[in-house]
Amino acid sequence: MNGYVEAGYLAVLGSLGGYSALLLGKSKKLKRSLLPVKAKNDRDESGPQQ
Amino acid sequence: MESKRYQRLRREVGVLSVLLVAVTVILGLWVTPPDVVQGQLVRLIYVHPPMAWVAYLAYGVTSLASILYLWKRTRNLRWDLLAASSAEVGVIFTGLTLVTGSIWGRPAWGVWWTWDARLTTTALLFVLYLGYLALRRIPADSHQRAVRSAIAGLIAFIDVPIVHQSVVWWRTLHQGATVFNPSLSPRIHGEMLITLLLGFISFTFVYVWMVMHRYQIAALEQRVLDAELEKLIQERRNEPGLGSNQIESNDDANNAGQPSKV
Repeated sequence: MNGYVEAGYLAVLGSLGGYSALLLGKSKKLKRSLLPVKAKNDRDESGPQQ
Repeated sequence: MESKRYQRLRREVGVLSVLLVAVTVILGLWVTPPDVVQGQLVRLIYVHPPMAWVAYLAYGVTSLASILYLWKRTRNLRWDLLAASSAEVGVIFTGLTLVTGSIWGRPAWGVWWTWDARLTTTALLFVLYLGYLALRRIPADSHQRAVRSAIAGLIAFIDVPIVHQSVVWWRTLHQGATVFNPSLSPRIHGEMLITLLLGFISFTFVYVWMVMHRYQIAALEQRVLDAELEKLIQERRNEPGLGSNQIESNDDANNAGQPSKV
Protein backbone atom coordinates (compact mmCIF):
# COMPACT_ATOMS: atom_id res chain seq x y z
CA MET A 1 0.00 0.00 0.00
CA ASN A 2 1.30 3.52 0.67
CA GLY A 3 2.48 3.61 4.29
CA TYR A 4 -0.30 5.96 5.39
CA VAL A 5 -2.93 3.22 5.37
CA GLU A 6 -0.72 0.89 7.42
CA ALA A 7 0.07 3.71 9.86
CA GLY A 8 -3.64 4.43 10.31
CA TYR A 9 -4.55 0.81 11.02
CA LEU A 10 -1.54 0.43 13.31
CA ALA A 11 -2.57 3.53 15.28
CA VAL A 12 -6.13 2.21 15.73
CA LEU A 13 -5.22 -1.38 16.62
CA GLY A 14 -2.25 -0.39 18.76
CA SER A 15 -4.17 2.22 20.76
CA LEU A 16 -7.27 0.08 21.32
CA GLY A 17 -5.14 -2.97 22.16
CA GLY A 18 -2.99 -0.96 24.56
CA TYR A 19 -5.99 0.56 26.30
CA SER A 20 -7.65 -2.86 26.59
CA ALA A 21 -4.51 -4.34 28.15
CA LEU A 22 -4.43 -1.42 30.59
CA LEU A 23 -8.05 -2.05 31.57
CA LEU A 24 -7.49 -5.77 32.06
CA GLY A 25 -4.35 -5.21 34.15
CA LYS A 26 -5.98 -2.57 36.32
CA SER A 27 -9.10 -4.63 36.99
CA LYS A 28 -7.00 -7.70 37.89
CA LYS A 29 -4.90 -5.62 40.31
CA LEU A 30 -7.99 -4.11 41.95
CA LYS A 31 -9.72 -7.48 42.29
CA ARG A 32 -6.60 -8.85 43.98
CA SER A 33 -6.47 -5.95 46.42
CA LEU A 34 -10.06 -6.64 47.46
CA LEU A 35 -9.61 -10.36 48.08
CA PRO A 36 -10.01 -11.19 51.78
CA VAL A 37 -6.76 -12.44 53.33
CA LYS A 38 -7.12 -15.95 54.72
CA ALA A 39 -6.17 -15.74 58.38
CA LYS A 40 -4.33 -18.66 59.92
CA ASN A 41 -6.27 -20.15 62.77
CA ASP A 42 -3.76 -21.40 65.32
CA ARG A 43 -6.48 -22.68 67.59
CA ASP A 44 -7.73 -25.24 65.05
CA GLU A 45 -4.25 -26.55 64.28
CA SER A 46 -3.17 -27.07 67.88
CA GLY A 47 -6.38 -28.80 68.85
CA PRO A 48 -8.84 -27.84 71.55
CA GLN A 49 -7.47 -25.50 74.21
CA GLN A 50 -7.96 -26.32 77.83
CA MET B 1 -19.54 -8.22 43.32
CA GLU B 2 -20.62 -8.78 39.72
CA SER B 3 -22.48 -11.93 38.82
CA LYS B 4 -21.04 -14.85 36.88
CA ARG B 5 -23.59 -14.20 34.15
CA TYR B 6 -22.34 -10.63 33.68
CA GLN B 7 -18.73 -11.85 33.55
CA ARG B 8 -19.65 -14.40 30.89
CA LEU B 9 -21.51 -11.77 28.86
CA ARG B 10 -18.51 -9.45 29.00
CA ARG B 11 -16.21 -12.24 27.86
CA GLU B 12 -18.55 -13.05 24.96
CA VAL B 13 -18.71 -9.39 23.92
CA GLY B 14 -14.90 -9.29 24.06
CA VAL B 15 -14.44 -12.37 21.86
CA LEU B 16 -17.05 -11.10 19.37
CA SER B 17 -15.33 -7.70 19.24
CA VAL B 18 -11.96 -9.24 18.41
CA LEU B 19 -13.48 -11.42 15.67
CA LEU B 20 -15.45 -8.55 14.11
CA VAL B 21 -12.45 -6.19 14.15
CA ALA B 22 -10.29 -8.92 12.57
CA VAL B 23 -12.83 -9.39 9.74
CA THR B 24 -13.07 -5.60 9.24
CA VAL B 25 -9.27 -5.30 8.99
CA ILE B 26 -9.00 -8.22 6.54
CA LEU B 27 -11.78 -6.82 4.34
CA GLY B 28 -10.48 -3.26 4.63
CA LEU B 29 -6.84 -3.99 3.86
CA TRP B 30 -6.94 -6.91 1.43
CA VAL B 31 -10.38 -7.74 0.07
CA THR B 32 -11.95 -4.40 -0.95
CA PRO B 33 -10.69 -2.75 -4.15
CA PRO B 34 -8.84 0.59 -4.29
CA ASP B 35 -11.00 3.65 -5.06
CA VAL B 36 -11.02 5.30 -8.50
CA VAL B 37 -10.23 8.74 -7.02
CA GLN B 38 -8.57 8.04 -3.65
CA GLY B 39 -6.69 4.88 -4.58
CA GLN B 40 -5.42 2.91 -1.57
CA LEU B 41 -6.25 5.78 0.80
CA VAL B 42 -9.92 4.76 0.76
CA ARG B 43 -8.98 1.91 3.12
CA LEU B 44 -8.70 4.43 5.96
CA ILE B 45 -12.40 5.19 5.48
CA TYR B 46 -13.23 1.79 6.99
CA VAL B 47 -11.80 2.88 10.34
CA HIS B 48 -11.99 6.70 10.46
CA PRO B 49 -15.81 7.28 10.42
CA PRO B 50 -16.44 4.34 12.83
CA MET B 51 -14.05 6.01 15.33
CA ALA B 52 -16.10 9.23 15.09
CA TRP B 53 -19.40 7.34 15.42
CA VAL B 54 -18.25 5.55 18.57
CA ALA B 55 -17.12 8.89 20.05
CA TYR B 56 -20.62 10.34 19.41
CA LEU B 57 -22.20 7.24 20.96
CA ALA B 58 -19.92 7.39 24.01
CA TYR B 59 -20.74 11.03 24.69
CA GLY B 60 -24.45 10.31 24.14
CA VAL B 61 -24.29 7.60 26.82
CA THR B 62 -22.39 9.99 29.12
CA SER B 63 -25.10 12.63 28.67
CA LEU B 64 -27.94 10.17 29.26
CA ALA B 65 -26.29 8.80 32.40
CA SER B 66 -25.64 12.37 33.59
CA ILE B 67 -29.31 13.28 33.17
CA LEU B 68 -30.31 10.13 35.08
CA TYR B 69 -28.00 11.13 37.92
CA LEU B 70 -29.21 14.72 38.02
CA TRP B 71 -32.86 13.63 38.06
CA LYS B 72 -33.61 12.99 41.71
CA ARG B 73 -35.97 10.06 41.06
CA THR B 74 -33.28 8.03 39.33
CA ARG B 75 -30.27 9.36 41.24
CA ASN B 76 -27.71 6.63 41.84
CA LEU B 77 -23.92 6.71 41.88
CA ARG B 78 -23.94 3.95 39.25
CA TRP B 79 -25.05 6.50 36.63
CA ASP B 80 -22.14 8.73 37.50
CA LEU B 81 -19.67 5.85 37.15
CA LEU B 82 -21.22 4.89 33.81
CA ALA B 83 -20.98 8.51 32.58
CA ALA B 84 -17.30 8.66 33.55
CA SER B 85 -16.48 5.27 32.02
CA SER B 86 -18.17 6.12 28.74
CA ALA B 87 -16.49 9.56 28.56
CA GLU B 88 -13.04 8.05 29.03
CA VAL B 89 -13.59 5.54 26.24
CA GLY B 90 -15.06 8.37 24.13
CA VAL B 91 -11.87 10.40 24.55
CA ILE B 92 -9.80 7.45 23.25
CA PHE B 93 -12.02 7.19 20.16
CA THR B 94 -12.03 10.97 19.58
CA GLY B 95 -8.23 10.94 19.74
CA LEU B 96 -8.18 8.13 17.18
CA THR B 97 -10.63 10.06 14.98
CA LEU B 98 -8.17 12.97 14.94
CA VAL B 99 -5.13 10.74 14.34
CA THR B 100 -6.65 8.67 11.51
CA GLY B 101 -8.09 11.85 9.93
CA SER B 102 -4.68 13.49 10.06
CA ILE B 103 -2.99 10.45 8.50
CA TRP B 104 -5.59 10.52 5.71
CA GLY B 105 -5.30 14.31 5.30
CA ARG B 106 -1.54 14.38 4.68
CA PRO B 107 -1.59 12.56 1.31
CA ALA B 108 -5.12 13.73 0.36
CA TRP B 109 -4.90 17.45 1.26
CA GLY B 110 -1.15 17.88 1.56
CA VAL B 111 -1.28 18.86 5.26
CA TRP B 112 -1.43 17.00 8.55
CA TRP B 113 -3.76 19.59 10.02
CA THR B 114 -5.89 22.55 8.88
CA TRP B 115 -8.30 24.77 10.81
CA ASP B 116 -11.28 23.40 8.92
CA ALA B 117 -14.67 23.58 10.72
CA ARG B 118 -15.00 19.77 11.13
CA LEU B 119 -11.44 19.35 12.37
CA THR B 120 -11.61 22.32 14.72
CA THR B 121 -14.92 21.33 16.32
CA THR B 122 -13.65 17.74 16.74
CA ALA B 123 -10.47 18.98 18.41
CA LEU B 124 -12.66 21.14 20.67
CA LEU B 125 -14.73 18.06 21.54
CA PHE B 126 -11.56 16.20 22.49
CA VAL B 127 -10.42 19.06 24.74
CA LEU B 128 -13.89 19.47 26.31
CA TYR B 129 -14.06 15.83 27.40
CA LEU B 130 -10.42 15.86 28.55
CA GLY B 131 -11.55 18.76 30.74
CA TYR B 132 -14.48 16.65 31.95
CA LEU B 133 -12.08 13.87 32.99
CA ALA B 134 -9.78 16.41 34.66
CA LEU B 135 -12.73 17.86 36.55
CA ARG B 136 -13.50 14.42 37.95
CA ARG B 137 -10.03 14.21 39.47
CA ILE B 138 -10.54 17.29 41.64
CA PRO B 139 -10.98 16.02 45.20
CA ALA B 140 -14.59 16.18 46.39
CA ASP B 141 -17.17 13.90 47.95
CA SER B 142 -18.85 11.51 45.52
CA HIS B 143 -22.15 13.40 45.27
CA GLN B 144 -20.56 16.78 44.67
CA ARG B 145 -18.24 15.32 42.04
CA ALA B 146 -21.11 13.53 40.32
CA VAL B 147 -23.27 16.67 40.10
CA ARG B 148 -20.61 18.95 38.71
CA SER B 149 -19.36 16.28 36.29
CA ALA B 150 -22.90 15.66 35.04
CA ILE B 151 -23.39 19.38 34.35
CA ALA B 152 -19.99 19.61 32.60
CA GLY B 153 -20.75 16.48 30.54
CA LEU B 154 -24.05 17.92 29.36
CA ILE B 155 -22.47 21.25 28.40
CA ALA B 156 -19.71 19.45 26.48
CA PHE B 157 -22.29 17.39 24.57
CA ILE B 158 -23.56 20.58 22.83
CA ASP B 159 -20.51 20.26 20.59
CA VAL B 160 -21.50 16.80 19.25
CA PRO B 161 -24.32 17.96 16.89
CA ILE B 162 -22.14 20.93 15.89
CA VAL B 163 -19.35 18.53 14.86
CA HIS B 164 -21.77 16.38 12.87
CA GLN B 165 -23.47 19.30 11.14
CA SER B 166 -20.27 21.31 10.54
CA VAL B 167 -19.90 19.91 7.01
CA VAL B 168 -23.46 21.03 6.21
CA TRP B 169 -23.43 24.45 7.94
CA TRP B 170 -20.02 25.63 6.67
CA ARG B 171 -18.08 25.23 3.42
CA THR B 172 -15.45 22.81 4.67
CA LEU B 173 -12.49 21.02 3.18
CA HIS B 174 -13.71 17.87 4.91
CA GLN B 175 -16.06 15.78 2.80
CA GLY B 176 -19.72 15.36 3.76
CA ALA B 177 -21.16 12.29 5.46
CA THR B 178 -20.84 9.12 3.37
CA VAL B 179 -23.53 7.05 5.08
CA PHE B 180 -25.40 9.20 7.64
CA ASN B 181 -26.07 12.10 5.25
CA PRO B 182 -29.34 14.15 5.30
CA SER B 183 -30.97 11.94 2.62
CA LEU B 184 -29.65 8.76 4.30
CA SER B 185 -28.48 7.39 0.98
CA PRO B 186 -24.98 5.90 1.22
CA ARG B 187 -22.59 7.25 -1.42
CA ILE B 188 -20.62 4.00 -1.66
CA HIS B 189 -21.86 0.53 -2.40
CA GLY B 190 -20.98 -3.12 -2.78
CA GLU B 191 -18.27 -4.64 -0.66
CA MET B 192 -16.97 -1.18 0.27
CA LEU B 193 -20.29 -0.32 1.93
CA ILE B 194 -20.45 -3.69 3.69
CA THR B 195 -16.91 -3.22 5.05
CA LEU B 196 -17.73 0.29 6.27
CA LEU B 197 -20.94 -0.88 7.99
CA LEU B 198 -19.03 -3.79 9.54
CA GLY B 199 -16.50 -1.24 10.82
CA PHE B 200 -19.32 0.66 12.57
CA ILE B 201 -20.64 -2.55 14.16
CA SER B 202 -17.29 -4.00 15.21
CA PHE B 203 -16.00 -0.83 16.88
CA THR B 204 -19.35 -0.40 18.62
CA PHE B 205 -18.80 -3.84 20.18
CA VAL B 206 -15.28 -2.78 21.18
CA TYR B 207 -16.82 0.29 22.86
CA VAL B 208 -19.36 -1.83 24.77
CA TRP B 209 -16.63 -4.18 26.01
CA MET B 210 -14.40 -1.29 27.08
CA VAL B 211 -17.20 0.49 28.96
CA MET B 212 -18.13 -2.75 30.76
CA HIS B 213 -14.55 -3.13 31.92
CA ARG B 214 -14.01 0.55 32.75
CA TYR B 215 -17.24 0.60 34.75
CA GLN B 216 -16.15 -2.43 36.74
CA ILE B 217 -12.81 -0.73 37.51
CA ALA B 218 -14.58 2.44 38.65
CA ALA B 219 -16.87 0.40 40.93
CA LEU B 220 -13.90 -1.55 42.36
CA GLU B 221 -11.96 1.69 42.95
CA GLN B 222 -14.93 3.01 44.88
CA ARG B 223 -15.01 -0.17 46.98
CA VAL B 224 -11.27 0.11 47.71
CA LEU B 225 -11.79 3.74 48.76
CA ASP B 226 -14.69 2.79 51.02
CA ALA B 227 -12.65 -0.07 52.55
CA GLU B 228 -9.70 2.24 53.22
CA LEU B 229 -11.97 4.83 54.76
CA GLU B 230 -13.58 2.18 56.96
CA LYS B 231 -10.11 1.02 58.08
CA LEU B 232 -9.06 4.57 58.94
CA ILE B 233 -12.24 5.13 60.95
CA GLN B 234 -11.67 1.86 62.79
CA GLU B 235 -8.09 2.83 63.62
CA ARG B 236 -9.27 6.19 64.88
CA ARG B 237 -11.92 4.49 67.02
CA ASN B 238 -9.28 2.28 68.58
CA GLU B 239 -7.11 5.26 69.59
CA PRO B 240 -7.01 5.60 73.35
CA GLY B 241 -8.94 8.50 74.84
CA LEU B 242 -11.22 8.90 71.82
CA GLY B 243 -14.82 7.84 72.27
CA SER B 244 -16.48 5.93 69.42
CA ASN B 245 -19.54 8.17 69.76
CA GLN B 246 -17.51 11.17 68.64
CA ILE B 247 -16.40 9.44 65.45
CA GLU B 248 -19.92 8.25 64.69
CA SER B 249 -21.32 11.76 65.06
CA ASN B 250 -18.65 13.06 62.64
CA ASP B 251 -19.49 10.27 60.14
CA ASP B 252 -23.14 11.22 60.24
CA ALA B 253 -22.34 14.86 59.56
CA ASN B 254 -20.09 13.99 56.59
CA ASN B 255 -22.44 11.50 54.95
CA ALA B 256 -25.67 13.43 55.35
CA GLY B 257 -27.81 13.03 52.22
CA GLN B 258 -25.01 11.59 50.11
CA PRO B 259 -25.40 8.31 48.29
CA SER B 260 -22.16 6.35 48.50
CA LYS B 261 -23.22 2.79 47.73
CA VAL B 262 -22.13 1.45 44.40
